[in-house]
Parts: sequence; C-alpha cells; structure tokens
Amino acid sequence: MNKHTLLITIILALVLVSGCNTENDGIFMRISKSETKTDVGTITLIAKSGSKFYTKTREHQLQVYESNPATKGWTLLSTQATFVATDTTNIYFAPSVTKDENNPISQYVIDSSPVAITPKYADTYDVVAMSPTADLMVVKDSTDKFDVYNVSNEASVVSDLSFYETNPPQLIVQQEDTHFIISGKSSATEYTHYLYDGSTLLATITGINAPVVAFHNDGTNIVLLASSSEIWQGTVAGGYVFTKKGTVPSFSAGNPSHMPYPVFFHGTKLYLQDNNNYMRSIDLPTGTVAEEKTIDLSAVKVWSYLVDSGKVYVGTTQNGIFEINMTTNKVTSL
Amino acid sequence: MKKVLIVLLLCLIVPSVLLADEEAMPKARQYAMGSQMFTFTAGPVLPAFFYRPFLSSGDKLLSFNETHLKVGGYGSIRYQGFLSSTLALGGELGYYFAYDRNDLFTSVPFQAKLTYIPLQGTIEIPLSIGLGFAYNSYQKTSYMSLLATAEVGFSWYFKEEWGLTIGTGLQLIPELYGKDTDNYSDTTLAGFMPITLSVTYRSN
Repeated sequence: MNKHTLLITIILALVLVSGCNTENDGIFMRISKSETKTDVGTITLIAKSGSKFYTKTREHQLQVYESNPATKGWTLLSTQATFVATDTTNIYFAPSVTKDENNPISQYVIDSSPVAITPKYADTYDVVAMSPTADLMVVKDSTDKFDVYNVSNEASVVSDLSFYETNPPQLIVQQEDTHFIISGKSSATEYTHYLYDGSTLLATITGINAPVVAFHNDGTNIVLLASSSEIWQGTVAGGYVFTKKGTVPSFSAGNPSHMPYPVFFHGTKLYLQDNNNYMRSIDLPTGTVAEEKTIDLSAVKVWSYLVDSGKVYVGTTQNGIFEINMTTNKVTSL
Repeated sequence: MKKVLIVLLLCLIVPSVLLADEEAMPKARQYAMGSQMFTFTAGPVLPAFFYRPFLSSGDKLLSFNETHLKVGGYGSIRYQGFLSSTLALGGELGYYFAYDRNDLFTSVPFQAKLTYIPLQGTIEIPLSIGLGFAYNSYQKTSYMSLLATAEVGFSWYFKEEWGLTIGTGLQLIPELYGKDTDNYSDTTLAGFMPITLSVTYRSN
C-alpha cells in the first residue's frame, strides 16, 4: 500500500465515521439531559393545590406529590383509581369492574387531613370514561346507549348517544374550559364526533374517519387532531365546518398508549410531543404544524399535561413532574 | 474550573515528556527491539467533561457531575511490541461503561497505542498515546466514533516479568454531526478520565 492509498483510506474512514452519526440524536446530549426515574411510573395529572399535585399513577393508584423541596415525596391515597375526575374541590375515582357491572365511585376531599375518602355512588353507574381534569364521566346505560354526567352531583349533561356495536366512545375535555368532545364509531367504517359546550351540542362532526384524540376551541378557531395524525381546522363563525390541513409528523396516537392524546394550549397554539419526544405545535387559525425546538422535553416521554392558573405542568411516563415556563420555554423538574 | 485546568495541564505535560531528550534519561535499558508486553487493565472512570462547541443556548462545557454520568468502569487488554529500547507500539481493546441518571452508556474502544518508557527497570514510568475508534451505545442507538487517548503510569515490577501499574489519563470521544444535519448542535467532545490498575507481563 503506497502513501496515497493509505491517506485516502484514512480520509474515507474518517468520513464514514462522521457519516455514521447523522441518523441518531446526540448520545452525549441526551446523556446530559437525562432525568432521574421515579418509582411511580406514568403520571396523569389531576389537580394542583399549592405545592401539591394530585395524580393517578401506574397500577391505578391515586397519589399526591408534594413538590416543596423540603418535604418532597409521594403519598398513596388509594389503589382503586382506574377512572378519575375532579371538580377542583374533590377527586372522584372508581376501580375497573367485570364487564356490565357498575363501578363503585369514591370521593376524596382535596387537601383533607386526615385523608377523607368516602363512597359517593355504590352501584349506580357503568363507567366508560372519566376526565381527569373535569367533573365529567361517560356511562353506559341499561339500553346500551351512552350518557354524560357531572360526577359531583349526577347532573345529566348528555343523554342517549349511540355508537356502533356499543363500542365505548372517547371523552376529550378541553382543560380549564367547558368544551368537550365525545368521539366514537358510528358504523362499521365511520366515526362521529359530538362537540359540546357544557350541555349544548355545538356540532355533530362526520367525515373524520378516525377517533379524535385531542382538540382545542379558543372561541374563534377550532382544531381537531385525529388518531390518524390528521389535523382538521374550522371556525366558530364558519359553523364548525372542518377542513383537513395536513398531518403531524412522527405522530402515533398509541404513543403514549392512552387516549386522549396529551396536549396543552398556549397563545394561539396547541402543543404536543411527537414520537421522537420533540415538541410540536398546531396553529389554531391556520392548522399548520411547526416544530418547537425551544421547549426541550426530549429526555422524557409526556403522559399528561395540567394547565393551572396559566402555568403548564407535565406528567411523564417515568421521570416525575415538570413545569414549562412558557415565557422563557425553560423546563424544570419539580 | 480548576479540575478542567488540571486536565488541560496533563494534556500539555504528556506530549512534552514524550518529546524529552532521550539522553537525559537513565542509560540502563530493560527493553530492546522485539521485546513484548501484555497488559490487563481495570479501574474506575470519571466523566471529565462534555464540550458542545455549536450549542446555541445553555452550557457549552459540562464537567464531572454536570454531564449526568456517574463514575463508570473500564477494562482492557493490550499487546505491544518494542520498536526501540524505549518505544512500544501495539493495540488495545477495551470496554467502558457508565450510568447516567437512568440508562447505561457503553463504549468499546479499540486503538493503536504508542508507549514511551523513559525510566525503565524495577520502577517504570510509561507514557502512552492512542488513536482509534470507539463503538458507543446508549438507549436504543449506537454509533462508531473516533477515539484519542493519553495516559501516564507508574509501574513496579515485583518480579522480572510481572509488574503492577497505577495509571491515569484522558480518553477523548468526539461525536460529530454535519453542519446541515438537525443534530449539528449536538456535536460533542466527551472526555473521560480513567484511574486504572494494570498487570503487565513483559518478555525480552
């Protein structure tokens, strides 16, 4: 091997080595951002009171997290919380039961000391879904139709919704608001999505043949995100007629593996994390999607968001709770 | 910052000693061309620094705990043959592991190693530099990178053929991304500081 061949070989090797890395995220960058795992697993944020976060964690546990640095820690309240809902004063929760049986619903008074957990409804409702951040539950009635109730006072919100072969629908609730969507299969090949404001039906949406997994209505514009990654945009003034605007890249409604898909709204945008843990936003007026590189949650997988008094809190799959400062875009572990 | 200065100082001292005038060293030579050394090494590794030159915001230089890596471990086998009475050239295959706050980072470095031994006999001071590649793995991704090392040791031969060496140095692993790639700002020069104990068998 002459000198030139040796030199070319070395240069080619260097190019190859540099080129090998282009498909990966930075390993050392990810190491420097790594976060400590918590032993509570997935965290669904329910409510915040002072420095305490009320959560549903893995194995259907209702837990409270004290974020004050001096007394940081988790306290178990119940292991029966497959479904959770809140009216901000109380948390309502129910375990899963055998098919077609009714779920016993319990009530926990937020911040009660000693812990006050009492039975609320012993054997009244076949619960299909509850919203962790709202006072709403979907139940299946005796005629296999679906009703929506306020959990706190049993007030009927919606009655007698029919879905294909009694497939349970999804309940998607807008945080800190009264809008919600009931989304489900209405025939073998079609889905229907009912948009409500409180108990008022705003729109019956068809033509989106996949479950809606997230949405936001800011009073002027509304964006729906389907499990197929399609973005649909409409306006209140336009009578809730929706137009497909594109798709969210690297999106799978099964990751995280629960629905609704975790999103939060700030400014004019709906924010979500994609499959690669990058933050993306959907602009409500235009329905366009953009990468939000300045909000760095790449070291964690988001499981839930809680918007409380203008602040955004993040529950993760295994790394505890974080706060996003939407002014500085700084992410802080709590 | 002091610790970083010490590391930089070590980087300056090692080459200067390597280039020192051979005439100033002791005359008695243990080795000759054709002599051989087998070395088995193990010990803890401190994460020295991560330097991210193209990072647009945040700290470009992270040292020790700031890297989020914990103290890891390193083990290697090395074979070297002598080119002259003081210079030995050979290869080293190693395995390095360390945990960050959750996950395991591993690196399999393989490198050509040049060792200069100015002081020889029962007590020796080997000075080495190495150049090669490292196969790095973390979470679900892995890649091959370049590798450069420098180390200094203090050896005691308790038998004619067998010796123990306490050593330290610096291992540099660059993670390179092209300017047009999404990960350009992730470009990092990672430095690791092993503190090792070696067992060496030498034969003339």
